[in-house]
Amino acid sequence: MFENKKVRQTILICALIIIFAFPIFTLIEIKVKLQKLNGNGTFFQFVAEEETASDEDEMPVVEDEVYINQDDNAGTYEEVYINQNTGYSVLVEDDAQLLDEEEERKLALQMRDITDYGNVIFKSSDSAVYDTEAYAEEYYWEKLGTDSGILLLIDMDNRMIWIHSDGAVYRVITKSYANTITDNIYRYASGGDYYECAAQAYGQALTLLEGNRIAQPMKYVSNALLAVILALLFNYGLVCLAMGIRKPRRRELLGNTGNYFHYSQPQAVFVRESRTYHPTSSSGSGSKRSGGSKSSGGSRRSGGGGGHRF
Amino acid sequence: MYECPNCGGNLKFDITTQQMVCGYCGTKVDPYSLQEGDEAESGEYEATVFTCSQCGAALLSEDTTVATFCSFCGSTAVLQSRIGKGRRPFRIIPFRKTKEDCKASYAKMMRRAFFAPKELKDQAYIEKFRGIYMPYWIYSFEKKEKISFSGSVSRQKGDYLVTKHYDIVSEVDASYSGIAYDAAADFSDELSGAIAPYEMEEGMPFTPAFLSGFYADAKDVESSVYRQKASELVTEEGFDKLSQDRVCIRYHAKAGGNKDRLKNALRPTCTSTELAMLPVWFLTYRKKDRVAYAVVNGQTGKAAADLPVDRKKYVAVSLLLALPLFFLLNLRFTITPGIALFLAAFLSFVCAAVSCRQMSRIRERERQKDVAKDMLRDMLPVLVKPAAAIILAVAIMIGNPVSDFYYYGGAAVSMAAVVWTILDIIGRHNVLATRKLPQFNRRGGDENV
Repeated sequence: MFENKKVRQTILICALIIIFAFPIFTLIEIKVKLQKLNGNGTFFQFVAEEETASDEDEMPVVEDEVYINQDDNAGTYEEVYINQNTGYSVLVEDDAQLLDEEEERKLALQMRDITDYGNVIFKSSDSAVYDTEAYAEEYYWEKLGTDSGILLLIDMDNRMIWIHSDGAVYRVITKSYANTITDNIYRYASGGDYYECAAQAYGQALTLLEGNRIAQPMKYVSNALLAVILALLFNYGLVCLAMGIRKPRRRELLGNTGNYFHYSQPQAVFVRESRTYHPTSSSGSGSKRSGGSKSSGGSRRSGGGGGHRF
Repeated sequence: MYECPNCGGNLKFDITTQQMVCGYCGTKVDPYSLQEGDEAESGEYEATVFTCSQCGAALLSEDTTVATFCSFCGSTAVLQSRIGKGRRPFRIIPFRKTKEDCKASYAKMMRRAFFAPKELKDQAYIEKFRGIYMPYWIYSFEKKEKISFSGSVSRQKGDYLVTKHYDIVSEVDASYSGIAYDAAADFSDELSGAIAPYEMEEGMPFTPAFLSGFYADAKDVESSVYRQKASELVTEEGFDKLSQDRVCIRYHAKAGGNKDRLKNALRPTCTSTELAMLPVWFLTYRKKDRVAYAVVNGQTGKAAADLPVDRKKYVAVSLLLALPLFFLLNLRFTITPGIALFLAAFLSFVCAAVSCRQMSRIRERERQKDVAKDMLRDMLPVLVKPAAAIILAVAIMIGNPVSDFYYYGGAAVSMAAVVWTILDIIGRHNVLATRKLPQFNRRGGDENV
């Protein structure tokens, strides 16, 4: 197909570069993460400082057990663990009864590791929820306000999983990462394995919080395709702009010396007056003011998240 | 052929000295001092006519040596020659730019031709630039009279719109000369327009001696073909100037129906139409049954060219550019399945729009723009790929399946269709950037007439 050796070589090199772009990019991203970890005022340093302060104040030693306090009235579990060093807690509220007792205990143990970075909530719901995202945001706000933390919501009514985070955790588990995690785990929920779904979600969140990476193959594949298309379109734009035949402007064509256009001051002479029936619209006479801007009520909510149907 | 008065050698016009110079003894002779014979009286001049056996193009020359290739189709077949006569032009602008100047101008222009085939930058190819005197019609216009046009001012009064009508009067004194349009059917108007203008003040009375060492194209387009176009050019110029006047602005002289009255009032009278020979450096690039031209104004050095795209080079450069874009996207952009699909559909739509625009331009060239039935027939194959991509994406979005597989699969298929469509777009760009062979059946050489 490609007769020219040089062109063939160039295309081959490009293809190889793109193939190797994935690991190269991975390395670069790890480097960026490491730099973030070492930087000033980062989330990670904030945790370290707290730990140091806790040591100085001789806080009690953190225990490895989790305490499941069953709320008999609601049939749910709440605040099963508090990290003595950071003050962050684990909350499990399985309203939809998706997990058995043993699964909840195992999950809480896994969630405990995240309390080094923020609060952790597991919430399942089978009541009517209009908008999963809004519900997750509202629920998080009720429980933690703008405190650092992560919420995994399994909404059985809309069959949707949603991760919402805020504070320092949100700086790592951004909306895009929340989407990536839910993309990676929604199949477990579809298969009815809610424990595995939640365990994977917290596992991947912890991986990110520890500065490591999670698999996001489709992101790379989609971005690679998109990059190729954008490059092709950009170059086509360049072809149209730079390689087209340019016509000279009229002024340039008539720019020969000796060409001139003079005119005397135009004089307007009144000829006649005409009237056309043209009623004005009644809406035009009223005030067009909108009545002021809508107030947001001073919300300080700063978090966000992402989700996936299952 | 003009003989040297000193040695009998062949005299040729030398651009640097603007004299006839003998290639053997270096004798310089004033072109006007050479005897012409009786042709000057008859309004014609005698020359050797070379006719291309392949495309039928005819070139005139004072040189009797055999031409080695056709400037219009690039054919290397030996051209048939005969003695013929051409209509004697009134004026000529001799070549001012040497072949070296021409090559430099061309090379400068080619700097922006990133994706042009490498043959177009090849030194051996550029060496084939040939100096040709092209016939041009030179129009002069004048407007020296009192003109009257309409103006109006409207205001709302109750339920009525009250309009006061005015006659606006002004004395116009305008003169335009040297408006040039090529008079050779085999010379594209697009290209001749791109290397315009010529400085007509440097025009000299025609004598065939200037043609020695160059070729000349024959006039085969009548002066009436471009008169209207030239008149409109002058009218537009006057309209732009006069409509800027505060009185014209105040009385809305360029609004609605007033605009046409003002233009009609400004329409000038054509005072003269002259045939002139203007210098053009000409180069032909031929690939299969398509041909592309590069031209350089022999007086000012302005260059223009049909620039096709080398598809392999385009793809290779795009892949290289895709690398930084890929890194950038990964740093800043996490694509969700829905967005991937939406983007694929949107890009397909963009490609479909570009394809339609290209097809309509191709059809415009081929004079099919009024045939609605054929339009559908032409457009359908062009739109199949992007339309299929859009339909697939929309179907998945409407179906709204849970599994990401459908979204990513659909997006991948749609994006592949987009890539394919873009490559087709480049193919059509090349159709638009080149010309069919032969092209001498075109009226005035204008593909859009």
